[in-house]
Amino acid sequence: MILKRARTLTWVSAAIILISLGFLILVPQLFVGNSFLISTFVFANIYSILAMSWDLLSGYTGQISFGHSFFFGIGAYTSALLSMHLGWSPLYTIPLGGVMASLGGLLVATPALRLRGPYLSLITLVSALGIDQLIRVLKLGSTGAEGAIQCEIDLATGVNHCVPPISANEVEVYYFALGLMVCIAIFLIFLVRSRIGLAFEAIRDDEEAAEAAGIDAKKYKILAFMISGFLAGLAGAVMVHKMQQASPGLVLDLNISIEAIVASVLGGMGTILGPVGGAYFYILIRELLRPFGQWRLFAVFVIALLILLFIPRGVLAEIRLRLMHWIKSEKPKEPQQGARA
Amino acid sequence: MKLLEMQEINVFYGKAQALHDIALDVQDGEFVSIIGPNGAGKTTLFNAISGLISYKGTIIFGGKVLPKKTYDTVQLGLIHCPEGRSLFPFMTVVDNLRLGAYRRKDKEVERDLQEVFELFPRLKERQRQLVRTLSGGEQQMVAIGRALMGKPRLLMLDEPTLGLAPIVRSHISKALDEIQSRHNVTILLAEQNADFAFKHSDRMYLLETGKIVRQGTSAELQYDPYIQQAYLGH
Amino acid sequence: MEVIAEVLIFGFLISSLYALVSVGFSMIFGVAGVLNLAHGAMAMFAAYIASWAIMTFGLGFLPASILGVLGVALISPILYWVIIRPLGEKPVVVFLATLLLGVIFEQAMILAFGFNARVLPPIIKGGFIVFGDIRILYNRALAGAVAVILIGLLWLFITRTKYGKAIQGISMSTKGAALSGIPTHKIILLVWAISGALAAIAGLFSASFLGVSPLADREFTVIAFSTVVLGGLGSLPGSLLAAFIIGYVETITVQFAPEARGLASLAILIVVLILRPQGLFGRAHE
Repeated sequence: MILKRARTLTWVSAAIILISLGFLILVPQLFVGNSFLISTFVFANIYSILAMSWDLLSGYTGQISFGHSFFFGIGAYTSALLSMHLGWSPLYTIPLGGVMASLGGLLVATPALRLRGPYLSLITLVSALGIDQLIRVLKLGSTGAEGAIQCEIDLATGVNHCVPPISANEVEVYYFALGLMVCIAIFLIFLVRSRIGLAFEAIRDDEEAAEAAGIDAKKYKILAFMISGFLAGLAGAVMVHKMQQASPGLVLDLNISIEAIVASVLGGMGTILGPVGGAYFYILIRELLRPFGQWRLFAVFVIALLILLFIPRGVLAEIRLRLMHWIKSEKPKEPQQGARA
Repeated sequence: MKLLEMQEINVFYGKAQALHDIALDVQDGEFVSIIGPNGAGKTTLFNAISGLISYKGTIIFGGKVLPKKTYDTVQLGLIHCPEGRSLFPFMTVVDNLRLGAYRRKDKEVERDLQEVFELFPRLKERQRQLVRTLSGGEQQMVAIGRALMGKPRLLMLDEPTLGLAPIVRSHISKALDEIQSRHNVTILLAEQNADFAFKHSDRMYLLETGKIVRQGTSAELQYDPYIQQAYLGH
Repeated sequence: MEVIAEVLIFGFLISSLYALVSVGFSMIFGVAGVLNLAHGAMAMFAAYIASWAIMTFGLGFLPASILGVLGVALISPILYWVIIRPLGEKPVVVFLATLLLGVIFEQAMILAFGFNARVLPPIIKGGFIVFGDIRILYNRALAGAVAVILIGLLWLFITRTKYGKAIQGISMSTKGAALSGIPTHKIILLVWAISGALAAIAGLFSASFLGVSPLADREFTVIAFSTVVLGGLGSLPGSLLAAFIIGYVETITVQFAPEARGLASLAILIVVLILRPQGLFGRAHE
């Protein structure tokens, strides 16, 4: 009986994932010519990558980052500057953006190693605010104003230099973003089930205990920062080629960090696929419900807060847990009776 | 008269049951000890009585149902001096003691403070020092003093001698005698150190893995073969 | 010489407002163990309440400000009781919940008042205090004086009164405080109210110099978070000192390298955290 139900569960989950994936593959065919909608789905994939990246570092490893825009922005600026000034294809500069962001992760991780909890979160926040300021001060963007990168005309040759798109064909851009997102999701699902993923979780649950069990917490924390940075950098790089411009406000804003957190909270921290669902939910509401103005964001944030209050495990994890209990025909465990003072 | 009385008290941590059907009573003016090994549930029982954790069942205190919130139990004069002491380390000795009298509105607080200083002259010398700079024994004195400042009808002492040197332990021991004789405070003591408990108690309970397995007067239990063998090392 | 005097005076004025925001943040962490990322929203919210009262009822700045402070002193403990406390001892969840509360407040302000910044009228119009060649607007001087007086009163309250000692006690051992018969929940609510009120006052003054916009809370929160970590979590003197360090560093950079305004204090923060991870006056919290 139990075995039968467990098998049903696996099939149901697999079916849901495959149907969703099938739908996503068909998006360009279903909405032919609707570039607004296709763009929206591109953004949803980019934010899914960003949210998974946050989830790996914060949801899995417990290092709460308030500054994921740091990695996102580094990836975006690196890829934009390289492709625009050296004329390299985005297909090369996007991974390079990821590598730079990964080095950024190393940079943040080094002071962060001695820091825990709120101290660490503050370092991530400060890094993000700092690089935002730095780019404005250095006027990194060649256009000058507040560090923005836009198209510029070379006066000598009359050629218009822009941040190149990944492809002129929006459907190809869509499949690129979707493919990248799916590959990263698969990679992360394997990663978190590997010994590395177990080490990450052990560090999150109790760092001292993890060290006592022989896990080199420092090494794994650096690794988490670097992988997470790499992925967020890829997301930022794809974003910059999608928008064909960059500015601190577009790719380094604190809002990006907040959105990554909101997406993960909506779908459930520490589940990899949950944040993907959360990112889709968030972006679709943000883009498709524009007629409702600011109400839509207000509503999404309130929903996220309610999820934290009432489904702290996250929607996906809660559903999975309830199904597991259904398989074992048990009632879900009541919330633990805590001590009260 | 029974000051504290309980039947079938159960405590759960999630699914695990920490205390099973605890039945226990303390008469007015008595000195009762609960002995048992580390992890038997002594601290859990104390935490339940003072409302720090939730429990199933009813406790009667002074003839009335004991409320389940810490604040309310303290108001009734049930003062719990916890294991680990839970002092205010960055405050002075005298501030720690005064906070012990937080609930009181009577005018005898200053007199009681002087009495605590008579009981523990060491604390008088160090009253302006921060508690964190004191030795373990002195901190234990502050903890007991702070509890006394709450004017207890029932003083619950959880492992007051844990980790203390024998000489300090004898100071505490003397203080307990004095507290009971001079101030007529009813005391419920939790101790791993059975010798210490036997020295002071009128009656005792033996708690093992969350259950009361023996009870009786100290005189009776002193000759109980199981207790002799397992706890007194005879 | 004048430059030095100017830096000293204006640095002091800005630092005292930072201190006002930070002590509340620090106290809330002390008693409730919560890093309240919605703290800046309280400062912003007070300014909006006052602005709304002025526009709608034609109130003067003073009564409108009192309304703003009281409103925040009321809403801050309610937020704790209804949203934060039920989350229990899960620091990460609480941390994220306060972050969400902050952004929800931002959205609510946008919905109610739009994106545009609003400026509150000064409490004392016109006029300067003159020190040689340095002129300080009465309103700014008043802000500094109010901040210093409030911090002084808070200090007396915390160190001399029964309630204040209870606050200290809870921040050192919540269990010990509860077992001493201190009504911990009530005191914690009181701390949320006081902290909210102090942030509100800082927000009101700031709005009368620079205006207030729906995202203005972020700067307050970042300043409070940074100073409290810089000073060492749980240490009020540390927070005060750190507020003055950050305030002066900013004033000095504005004076000599205005472009690097935001960077200097961030750099100091990183350096201190690398050298002293527990902050300047960090201490353990049970």
